This record gives sequence, C-alpha cells and structure tokens, in this order.
Amino acid sequence: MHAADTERSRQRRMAGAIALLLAFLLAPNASSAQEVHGFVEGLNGVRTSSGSGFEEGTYTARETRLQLRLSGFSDVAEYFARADFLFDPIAGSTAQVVLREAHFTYTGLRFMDFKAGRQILTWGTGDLLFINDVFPRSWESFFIGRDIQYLKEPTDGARFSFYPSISNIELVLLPRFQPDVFPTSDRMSFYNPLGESFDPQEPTLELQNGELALRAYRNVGSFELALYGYWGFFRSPVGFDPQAMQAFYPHLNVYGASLRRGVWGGVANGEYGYYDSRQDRDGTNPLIENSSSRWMIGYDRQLWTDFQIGLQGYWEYMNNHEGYKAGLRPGEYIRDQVRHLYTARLTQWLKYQTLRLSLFGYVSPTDEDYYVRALASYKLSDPLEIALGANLFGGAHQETLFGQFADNNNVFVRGRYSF
Amino acid sequence: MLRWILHLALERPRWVVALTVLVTIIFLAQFPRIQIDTDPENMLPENEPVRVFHTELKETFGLRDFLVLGIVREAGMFEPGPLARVAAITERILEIEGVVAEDVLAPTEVDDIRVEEGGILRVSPLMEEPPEDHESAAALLERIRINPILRGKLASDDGRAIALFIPLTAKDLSFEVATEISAIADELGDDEEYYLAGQPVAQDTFGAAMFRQMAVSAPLAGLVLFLLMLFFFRDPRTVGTAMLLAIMAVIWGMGALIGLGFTVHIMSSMIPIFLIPIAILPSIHILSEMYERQKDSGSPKRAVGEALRHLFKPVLFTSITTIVGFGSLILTPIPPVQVFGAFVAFGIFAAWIMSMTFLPALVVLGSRRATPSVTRLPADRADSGRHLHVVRRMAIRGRWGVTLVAIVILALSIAGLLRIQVNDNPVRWFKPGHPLRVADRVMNEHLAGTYLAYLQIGGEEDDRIKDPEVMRYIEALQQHLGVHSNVGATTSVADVVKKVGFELQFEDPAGSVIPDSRETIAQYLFLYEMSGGNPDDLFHFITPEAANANIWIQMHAGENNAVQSVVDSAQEFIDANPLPAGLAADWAGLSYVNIVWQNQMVRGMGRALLGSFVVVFLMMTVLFRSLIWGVVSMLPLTGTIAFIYGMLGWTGKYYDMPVAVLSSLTLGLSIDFAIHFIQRSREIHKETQDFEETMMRTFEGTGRAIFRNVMVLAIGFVPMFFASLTPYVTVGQFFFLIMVVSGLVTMILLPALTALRPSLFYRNGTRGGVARERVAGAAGAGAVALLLGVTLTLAAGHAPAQAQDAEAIMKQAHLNLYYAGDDGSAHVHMALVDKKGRERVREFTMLRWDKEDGGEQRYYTFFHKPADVRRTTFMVIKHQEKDDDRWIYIPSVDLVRRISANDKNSSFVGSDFSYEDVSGRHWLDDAHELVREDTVGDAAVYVIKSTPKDKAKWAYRLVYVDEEHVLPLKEEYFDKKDRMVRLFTAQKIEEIDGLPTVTVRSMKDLKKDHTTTVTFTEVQYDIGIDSDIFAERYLKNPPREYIQ
Repeated sequence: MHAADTERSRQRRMAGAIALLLAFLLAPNASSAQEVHGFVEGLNGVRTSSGSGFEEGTYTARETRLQLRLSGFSDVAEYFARADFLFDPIAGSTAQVVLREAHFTYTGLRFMDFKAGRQILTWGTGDLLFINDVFPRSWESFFIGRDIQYLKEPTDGARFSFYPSISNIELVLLPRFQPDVFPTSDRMSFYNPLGESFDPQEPTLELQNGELALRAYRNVGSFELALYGYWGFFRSPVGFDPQAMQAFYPHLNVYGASLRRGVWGGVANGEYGYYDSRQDRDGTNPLIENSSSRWMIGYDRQLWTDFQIGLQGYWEYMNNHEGYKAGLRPGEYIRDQVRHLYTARLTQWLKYQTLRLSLFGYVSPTDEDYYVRALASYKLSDPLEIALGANLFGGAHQETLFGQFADNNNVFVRGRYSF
Repeated sequence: MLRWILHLALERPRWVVALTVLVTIIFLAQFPRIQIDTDPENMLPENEPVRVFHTELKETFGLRDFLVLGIVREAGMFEPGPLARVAAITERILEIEGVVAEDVLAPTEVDDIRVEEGGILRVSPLMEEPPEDHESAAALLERIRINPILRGKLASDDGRAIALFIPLTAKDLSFEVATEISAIADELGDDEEYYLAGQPVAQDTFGAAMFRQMAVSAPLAGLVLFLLMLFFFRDPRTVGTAMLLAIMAVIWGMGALIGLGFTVHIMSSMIPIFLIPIAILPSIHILSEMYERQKDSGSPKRAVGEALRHLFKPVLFTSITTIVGFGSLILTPIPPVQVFGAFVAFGIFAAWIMSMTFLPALVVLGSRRATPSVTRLPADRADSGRHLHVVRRMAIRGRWGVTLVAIVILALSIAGLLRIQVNDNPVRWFKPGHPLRVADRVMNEHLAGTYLAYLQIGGEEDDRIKDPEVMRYIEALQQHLGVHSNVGATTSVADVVKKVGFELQFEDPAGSVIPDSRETIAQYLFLYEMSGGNPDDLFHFITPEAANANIWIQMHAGENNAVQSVVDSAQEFIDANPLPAGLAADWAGLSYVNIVWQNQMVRGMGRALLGSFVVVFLMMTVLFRSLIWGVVSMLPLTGTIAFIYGMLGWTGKYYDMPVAVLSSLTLGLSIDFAIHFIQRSREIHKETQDFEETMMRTFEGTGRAIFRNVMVLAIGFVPMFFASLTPYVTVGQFFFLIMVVSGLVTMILLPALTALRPSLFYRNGTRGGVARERVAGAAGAGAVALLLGVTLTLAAGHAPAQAQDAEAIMKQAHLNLYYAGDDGSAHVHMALVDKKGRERVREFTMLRWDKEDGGEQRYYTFFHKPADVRRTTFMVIKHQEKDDDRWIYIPSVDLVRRISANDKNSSFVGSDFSYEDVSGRHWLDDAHELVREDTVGDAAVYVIKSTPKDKAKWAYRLVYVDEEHVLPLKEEYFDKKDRMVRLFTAQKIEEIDGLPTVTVRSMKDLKKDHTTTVTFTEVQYDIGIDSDIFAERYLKNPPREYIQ
C-alpha cells in the first residue's frame, strides 16, 4: 500500500498547494463576497488494550491540524476550497498539506447546476450505513476518532444537477478512481490474509475506467423517493489476480432505490441496492467478491426533549453462497449468506445544547462482531470545543469487519478552536 | 403476559366474563346517542379550502341545494290541464316546511321580462294564471324558449317536460321533502309522470336506504356465517360463542365511535360488516386448534390452554397486521375514512382481547356445567382433508408451473392496474332500476341537467362585472362550455343583460348582445331590478356590489370524470383567453366538491396502502426474523391486491369509494393466512427437519383452518351480492374474491415457492431462542397498545372551541407575529446569555413563505455564526395538522439529512426559544380567556390567559396583547404552582413596510437565569420569494439573491 499511498499523497500535496495559491491569487479580483474561516485542532488517541504487536498506551492518533476554508460567491457562481495543514508524527512526515476540497459551482441556470473540482459527495438515507452512497470513505479517520467530516474522502470530478419537473437528477462523473482508506499498520492492527505485501492494483487513469454515478429523486406526497445507479469499481480490494499475485478493485455496478418520510413524529427510511459484481456475475470465481443485494431500514425520532434515538437494520444477501463456499480453502472463515447488521444511535443534548453525549453502535449477529463509538463533546464557548471519545471493537472472528480490530480499542481527546 | 392472561381466563372465568359483559353494556349504552351523517361534503375536512369556498359562494349568492321535480307528459305539458296541475302542485310545495318558497323555480314563480306598451320594462311571473286555451299555453312555451335564463331549465324545448327547482333550507331535509312531494304528486297528478332527482335527494335517500341495508344485509350475512360455521363445527354452543364474540366486538367498536361523538357516516355504517368476519377469524383458529388438541388431552381446559399457547403469537400478529391495515386509513385526508379506519382497528383490538380472555373463559365455564363428553368433536371431514392433500401435491410437484402461472397472472394484473379508472357518482350507488336512477336518466334526457356546478368570476373591485369586457368574457366562456357534451345549459348575469336588451329592442334578436358601455349594462341591470322582479333572483348571478359573478353550469352527468372534463374544458378556455385583469375564476357546487374529495381519497388511500404495506412487511420480517420469509409472507396479499385491482382495471369497473376502502381490508385479511401457514410450518419443520413431512402436517392442521375460513367468509358474504345498494354489492364481491384469491395463493403459491429451494426457507438446526420470541411478543403487544393510543388520541382531538373573543385576539396576534406579509426575510442576531454573563451568538438569515395566513409555512435558514456551523442551512415546512418537516444540510460532508420533528419544545439552536416559539404555537392549541385589560408601559393591552389543551411544559401563560397593533408585548409562563418560569418580552416594535414588527424580543428562563435576545435587522416583507427555493437544491446552493 505504501507505494501507491505516497504517490497519491505527493500528487495531492502538489495539487493542493497549486490550487490554494491560485485561489488566493484570484480571490481579491473576484468582485463578490469572499471569506476565510477554519479551525485549529489537536487530536490524541491512545490504545486501551494490547495485542497484535501494539502495547497498551501507544498512540492511535497524535495530530495537530489547521484547516483553512476559502470561499466566495456571486449571483451565479461559487467557489470553495478547504485545505488541511497537518502535523502527524504517526504518519511519519513532519508536515503535510491536504487539499480536501476545491470546487467551483455554477448556479446561473434555472434548470441545472454544475459543480466541478475536488468535492465531497454524499447521498443515500443511511446513518453511517452506506448502500447507494458509493463514494470513498476513510474508515481510518472514523476508527481513530477524527471529526466525522473526515469519514468522507474527497473525489475529483464533476457533478451535474438537473431539475426537470418530473424528477431531480444528479449525474456525477469521476475520472480517477479513489479507494476507501483503511487503517494503516502504523496505527492499527487488522486482518491481512496476504501478509505484509499488500499492495492492491488500482484501476489505471483511463477513459474506460471512469466512474459514473446517477441519482434521480423526487417527492411523491410526503415520501422522498430516490433511484440510484453506479458504474465503477468496488472501493476495497475484494478481487485477487493469481497471475500477478496481487489484489485489485473489481468492476462494480450498483442499482438501488431509497424512500424516506416522516412517520409518527420520526423519520423512517428504507434503502435497497443491488451490487452487481461484473467480473463474477455467476458468483463462481472464489477470488472475486460475489454479487449481493443490500437492504436497509431505519427509524429515527426524538423520544423526549433533546434526546434522539436512531435504529437501523441492514442486510446483505450474497447471491451465490454455494459458489462462494466451494471456493474456500478448508478451515477458512465462512461468511453467512445473509449478513445482518444493526445500528443504534443515542444522542442527548444538555446545558443548552452545549454538551452533547452520543453513542453509536454497530452489531452484527451473523459476523458476530460489534463496534461502539462513544463521544462526549462540550462547547466551552462559541469557538472552543473539546471532545472525549472511545472506540470499542470486538468480535469472534478476526476476518470480519469489526472483529479484525478487536485489539484496537482506543480513547481519544480532541480540542478545536474555530474561527 | 400470556401466562398471566391464561391464568386469568382459565382460573377466574366468572370474573372475566362478568367484566367483559359489563364493558360491552357500557359500549352498548352509547348506541342511543347515534348521529347520522350522509352528506358527502363531510368527506372533506371542514376547513378544506374548496369546502370553505363552496359555503362562502352559497352565502354570497344566496344559493341553496335543489331538489328537482321533473314532470313529463308525452303528449306535451303545455296544455291547459297539465299546466293547471303544475300550478296547483307548486302551490302545495311552497307550503312544505324546509322549502325556500321565494326561490322556487316554477312557471308560476319565475320572472319573465317583457316590454309593455309604452316601452315600459316589466318583470312579472311567467305564468300568473294557468292559460285557458291551447294557443296561450303554446305561447308560454315560446316565452321560455326565447329566454336564455329559462331555456332548457324550466321546460324542454319540445314542451314535453317541465322541471320545478325546489331549494331547501338544509340538505338533510331532502328525503322528507321528497317524500312529501311524492305524496302531493300522487294526489294531484293525472297522466303525467313525476320524477324526483338532484344530488341532495340521492344522498339523503341513500342514507335512509343505508340503514335499512344495515338492518337486512349485515344480519343476513351473520346468519349465513353462523350456519356455515355450524356445518363445519357441528356445535351450536361454540359457534354461537364465536358469533357472540364478533357481535360484541362490533358493539365495542360502534359504541366507542358513537360515545366519542363521531357521526355515523356512509363509511362507518359498514363497520359491522367489516368487523364481523375479521373478528370471527381468530375464534375459528382457536376453536379448530382446541378440537385438535382435545383429541389428545381430553380436558377442554387443558386443550384451550394449549391452543392459546400455540396460537398466541400468530393471532397477535394477525390482529396487529389487520389493525395496521385499517389503522393506516388514519393517514388519509378524509375524516369519515379516518374514523372508519380507527374504529375498525379498535374493534379488531377488542376482538383480540376477547378471543384471548373471554373466549377461553366461556369454554371453561361451559365445560364445567356439561360433562366433557358432551362437547362434541367436529366431524372429521376427511373429504376436505383429501382435497387439501391433492392441492398440496399439485403445488409442490408442479412448483415451476405454479410459479410461472403466478408470474403471468401477476403481469396481467399489473397491466390491469394501469387501466383502472377512478370515478364515482352518488346516484350510481343505486342500482339501475331504482326510481332515483330512472328519474336521473329521464330528466337529464329531457332537460338541461340536474347536476350543478358554479363557476365564480370575480375580484375585489366593485362594479367590475359591469365592464363590457368582463361581460363578454363571461359570455364567451359560456359559449365555449355550451358546446361540451356534458353541459346542458349555463346561466349568468350576461344572459340577464342580453335578455333585457332583447326585450328593450322589442324582441329583436339584434338586441340580445352585451352593450358596449358599462353605463348601459348598469342601466339594464338597474332596470331589471326596478321593474318588479325579485332582486334576489338577480343576486344569484351577481353580487350587489357587482364585484363577483356566478355562472351556473348544469350538467347531464354527475360522474367525476364527466364533471372533471367540464372543469378541464373551462380551464382550457381560461388558459387560451386569460381572464381580464384583477379577476379570478373559482369553482364550487356539490358536483365539484365531489371531485375534489375523491381525488384526495385516491391519493390518500394509495399512501395509506403503501404505508401499511411497508409496516406489515417490517413486522413480518421481525416476526419470522428472516428477510426472505418477510418477503414471502407478503406474497399472498401482494398477489391478492394486484389480482383484484387488476381485474377491476380489466373489467372497466370504476375505482370508487367502497373499492378504495377495501384495499386495507385485503391487506389485513390476506396476510393472516400467510402468518398462520408460515408460523406453523416453521414450528413443524423444527421438529421434523423434513420438508415433505412439514408440508403434509401444515396442510392437515393450518391448511384445514384456512380452508374453513375461506369457505365460511366467502360464502358468508354471498347474500350481499343481492343488496339493493351497489356499494354493498361491491363489498360482498370483494370479500368473496379476497378470500378465494388469498386462500389460493397461500395454499398453492407459498408451498410451491418454498419447494423451489426448501433449504433457503427452512434451515436445519434451531436458530432463535425462546428469549427472542418473548421479545417479539412483547414488542407486538407494545404495538397494539401504541395503536390503541393513536386511536384514542385521534378521537380525543375533537373538543369544541370556546372563548371566541380571546381566541380571536390570539389568532390575530399569531397572524401578525408569524404571518406578516405573504413572505419575508430578515437577518437575525441571537444572543444567548447565561447566569454568569457569558454570551454565545447565533446569526442567520431567515426566509419565510406563507402558503396562506394561518396555514402552511416554509422557512429557510442560512447560518452565518458560529463559525463551525457557517453555511449550514436548515429548512422547515410547517404544517397545521401534522408534524413539521425539517431538513438540515451539513456542508462539510455534503449531507442533506431529514430530521424528526415531533418535539416542538426542543430548543432552537440552543437558545431559550423553542421551535414552537420560533414558528408559532397554534392558537387552537390553547384555551384562551380574556382576564382583564391593562397597560404595559404606555400601551393598552388585553391580558389573556392561555391554558394548553394538551400536556405542555407549562401550566398556563398570561399574554399581554397590544390593543393597537395586536402583537404580544409580554408573555408570562407559569407552572402548576403559579410560579413564573419563563418570560417573553417584545422590546421594540417598528413599522416595516406598513406592518408592525417586533424587531427586538427576548425570552428568559427564570429558573436557569438564562436569556436569549433576538434582534431582527434588514427585515423585508412581500419580496416575492419563490416557493421553489424550499428544496434540496437550495439547501446545497443557497439562493444568493436573498442571502449575502
């Protein structure tokens, strides 16, 4: 992973520096309003358990960052850039610049909007569960206690939004593949069946490797309906090329739909997606992930003043389980045909909403694993916020999503000054 | 819980029976208070705009609902004899109580305009005395034919029919008045045929017929059910018990409805018919099971205990799903349908409770008296058993064929669904041979039509209608509509003007035009008014100020499609020829009100069905703890609904009100079979671990119970095929189809599908322990309690309003504070100060758009401060009748989240203002009382005490409303011990764009010593905010023309 990673981060830094420079140069010439905001943040996280080569008390996170946001707008257009200046000893470098977002939006037409550049994309109805949201994420950031905005990884591309009367349509074109970011061995231990040399082959930057994502949404009565389509790749390396002895990101199409409406004072949502694994349609190739159907339902409501509860159920049905089992080596871990995953979110606000206690838990009865994320954040004043949190993992098998992190329980503290 | 219930029922049967009987008597005692309502207008809530407008228009133009008496004589009505009889009958009709005598349209009553010698215009009754000879009678017909106001309305052009239009003081008198008129016609009539028609009489007659039907059809259905059950069970006592239980459930349901003050509408009159079969279902299952067990255990008490233990969960779930099916009707926007849904749901709940307590208690009590051997076993009907096994073998062996056929049928059904036509007409509720249908047909053949709609053209400006441009527009619109095949005649003030012109020009057709000047038109109308005519006649067409005109449109057919087509045709004209400036066109009239509620109904039913479909699906998934079983269990009902409604599409039968309501019934009934079948087969499979064996035993036990249910209910409702009212016939047919189709699907398609890959459905080994089952059971009970709660809350929400004066002030203050202008924008600065003086600041731009004063509002908020939430946007759609819809956009992750909004007391962005304070607490949520008048500073104020009608965070508040601006200057909130807990102060009022505006206000929490002060700057009103900006697009990209 290192080679690709350093290559990417160098590219990013270059692009970031150039874009920021350009933005600052251009900004004073723009006739419209312009502003700079941002924050300074420190994050420290330590492990509360030993194992897999890590001692209790070692750092999972130890970083200081400055985020700058630059934006401006006129009546018909907007630009926005967000860059992080990061000091992170665990990642090995002394200082990095990461351009998180840099995009331009054109809003001058009644029937469409257009947004191009590095941007964060989100859609779908789940709360920290994703079916039709196929855009890249950083699980690493999530697991070590960074702010939730770092769960989403930016992508470079263009988004077209059309607003005909029958339905709103969003079309996203992503020329360059961007995988999900999983924890690195610098920080966390995880299950790696291939040993150290884990360096998956990414799709090359070619026209036919471009990704396309589509969403059509409209309200029907009080229902919010949406249809989704995606033509691209799995974002995790779930394919293996025996010739090259290398993992890779197989082709993936996703077709789905979602529905949301207010029900009994709360919000209910349901989502479905069919994951079509194009390189293993019949599910007989043991080296490539099977096709699957994914379902989700959720309900969220306030139980009493300033207390919110959200429950979700998620099911993943593997199409050819027999074929999958046939390809396993003896003794290898067998995933169930249907993976169940349930989540609960509890949030309590106190002291005029300055103190927020939140608990988010995943539990999967089929994978027999869980992940709990607890967070207490307190706003000392408008700009100053501190947060204390914990990430707890567990599971019966090291091969499952959360089970592999069983030795990585950690607590963290975060302080942020916004301006 | 089950154990507790069982213990109670089996060990304390006397108590259970006594208590149940007592409760039943209480509900029964409510019956004398029954109130009947047959008015389809009540299908819409009272505040529905079209209804409000309809009532308003009727008041403005002094309009009434009409009965139409048609008199037809093939040899011609315009002869001395018939006309003399018409005059005599008219005279008698005028005396009937409930008839608005001065507005009756009859030859002796209507005005005719003519110029007398010397050029004096005279308006006098058309037929002052019945003519003496044939010639003058024929001349009379000619007078009608040249009068655009009367032609086609009062008499047919061929002179064979005369119509009398009889306005009523109240619609609900129409049945009585109609009866009296019939009697008069019988007494005085000769060789003429007399027909009574008109929408009110159809509705009222239906109401009367409805209760006769209830007294005939429902008991007949009950009797047939009883006989059928007797045939299957051979034990009058047990069958009687099941019937008794069902009837008691009906008493509970109807008693609750009547007791809570709801009226019995056409819909709710059907509650017994729906409830009886549903309430019988669980009893049949329990009794069947009990007999099976009694074979082994011998003792009825043990058998009933075992049967209940086994059936507790399936019966609970079938009850809940049916409750959900009917409960979902609460989501429709039509009050009678909501009431119907809520109380059927309650009745089912009652039946469930009784089948779990009362039924076993009765069985135990019965067995104590008689020796066990007397309780006869049911005849083991081997024949039905054999047939069932044939079905089973066919389903399993022919599984591929069955699946294929099912898919083909489903595809055909879906094609049929697309062909469904929505249509309804109260007259069609009668069978074709009914006198009302005949009258309707005959009169619409001869005359201009008995279905009335009104199209109002008007505006604010007085005398606008007298403008020649406007007159000509009305004339052209009438001409356009006149061509429509469903329009028989249109009448308006333009016709009056033309008629006056025609007469002034000595009956020269060239005079029958709209004059070129406003003055001439005004003179013509004045002339008409002054010439002895009844001014009220004129004011049916034009308001005294001449700001509004009313076009009467008479139609031949009252079906919604036909009326809609007329409305569309008028709209086409208006689109092609824009209305003169300052004028608007609005529809009213019973025919039009009908199409509005029916459109709402179809959409509402669709939503309700979809909603309950999803809920039932989720429940099934939870019950079986398997997604795949959840999907499979939905098949019978999906198939049944698709098939039945597909048939409707193919046969071209209209989708009308009864049909719409039946969809929930289908949902509730057909899921039951699937639940019993699946639950039982899974249990058996756990024991046997063998698919074939499982199917065999499931068919023997549950299969037979399902078969019996299908037979009992399908045949039991055949008597309704012969009811005299078509809605009842429809309901009967539907029951029959629902039972047969869902039974077939459950017995054939379910086994066939599971046989395709048994391993997918029936896992080997045991999964899911006892503990989890208990949880599911408890959750189910919780759901029942919740639904019951919903029903009761719904029922409770109908308290009468009091203290009009104080309420009017509070309403005005609310409108001034929250609805100033039609839209508005402001920059808002909020300072939150705690007791140590520490300050936090929120700054945002707020846009507001009002759909109507006091109604729906939309808010858009863009946050400027604090820095960490900058550019976050927030949108609220505030509804009057339901929870708000709220969305938030979080830019850092590009996420639009919908957030739940059930708690209006939540603090708005951490301030002392709650959401309710920001968007306004509805004045109807509190009872208001004017306590005194006082002053705040220099301002005179009303002091109003507002006490929440429902639970709130405070006990009451004193509101100090400025008498001059009608804005609250101060609000003191008190707790139960009369301590002030919160204080609202309007610190600064400025006049902006002519509207008094509170620009600085504060809210103080006295307990926490925490204050929020809000300052509005850059306030603007009526800036023409586009309602489109309240959408996801603009959450992501703020509308920059308003937000800088």
